[in-house]
Amino acid sequence: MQELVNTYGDRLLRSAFALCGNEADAQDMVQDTFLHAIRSVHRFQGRSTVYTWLHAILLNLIRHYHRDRKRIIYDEELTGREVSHPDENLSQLDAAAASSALLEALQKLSRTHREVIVLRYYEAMKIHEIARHLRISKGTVKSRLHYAIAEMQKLLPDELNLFGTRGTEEIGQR
Amino acid sequence: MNCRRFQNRFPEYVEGSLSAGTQAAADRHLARCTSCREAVGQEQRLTQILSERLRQGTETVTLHPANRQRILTACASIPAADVDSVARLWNRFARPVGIAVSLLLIAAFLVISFFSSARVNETKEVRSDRRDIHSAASIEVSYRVPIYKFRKEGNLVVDTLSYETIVASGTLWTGNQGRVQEE
Repeated sequence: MQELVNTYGDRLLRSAFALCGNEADAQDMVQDTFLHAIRSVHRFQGRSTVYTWLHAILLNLIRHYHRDRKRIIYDEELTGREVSHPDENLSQLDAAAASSALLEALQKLSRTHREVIVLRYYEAMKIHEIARHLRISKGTVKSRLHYAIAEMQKLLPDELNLFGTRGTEEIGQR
Repeated sequence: MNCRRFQNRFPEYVEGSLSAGTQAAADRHLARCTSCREAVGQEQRLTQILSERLRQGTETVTLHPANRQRILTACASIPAADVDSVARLWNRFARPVGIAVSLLLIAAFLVISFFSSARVNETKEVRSDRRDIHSAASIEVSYRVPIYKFRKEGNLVVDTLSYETIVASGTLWTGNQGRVQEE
């Protein structure tokens, strides 16, 4: 178990943080993930990687978390970061601030949209892997990704220029 | 492949998970379609930027040593017998034992159903009026019947005695009161 915690602990924590936006809660959820994992280790049949199995447990816990809290509050004190608001000093945003703003925008997305963004762009999963992980069709994954990116584009200030030269309209036409 | 079909496979093209044939068709389409080529470039940039920024935004987050220790302590407090050994035994023996038990159950069911159906055919029958069900037993009786034959030989009357075996078969029905009837 120590090996699992050392190997996957930080990676799971970062994914949990991206999904729930609160580091303290993410720490708790990773702890619960490992406890659930050790109690249900007999269910692991080796059809996926250990990390994917752990991540599925984590995802389930985060869904309960969102169901309980209904609304996520991005806690700046716990993350220890300063989050720049779109209307102040946008021209001075550096990469770190842009990342923070991106995480903040991520928390404003719906749970389903946030999940596909994190799985696709943070976990670098392929479409069929996301579909299997979330137990939805590939078409639904693509549709959710499309709308999630369009929504994020609206939430982020233009100065961040996350999406290159492509605008919302172009995304909408894709 | 036209633009519409390419756009349906756009994410798979960017991630490189298309089949060889579809990939070749997509490549041929991209070679002559500027707008799709630009869209692919933008998607690749988007993937790169989002991945980098999500990593940058989370890279400083690490599992607290105290939390790490809590996980290990909590995991250690779960008895090994409840987790590892049971899980290992289950993984090792569950499938063969499950298959063996299933086969035994199927075999037992087949044997029981075979004999029970034979007995039902022998002893149970529904009468045409469907009101009573009687027990029945097949019976076969054979008996010898003496046959006397007389013939005249001149002034004498000669008789001969012979036996003929008669075989009779039928069904005996047991009524509600346990009486035996013959049909």
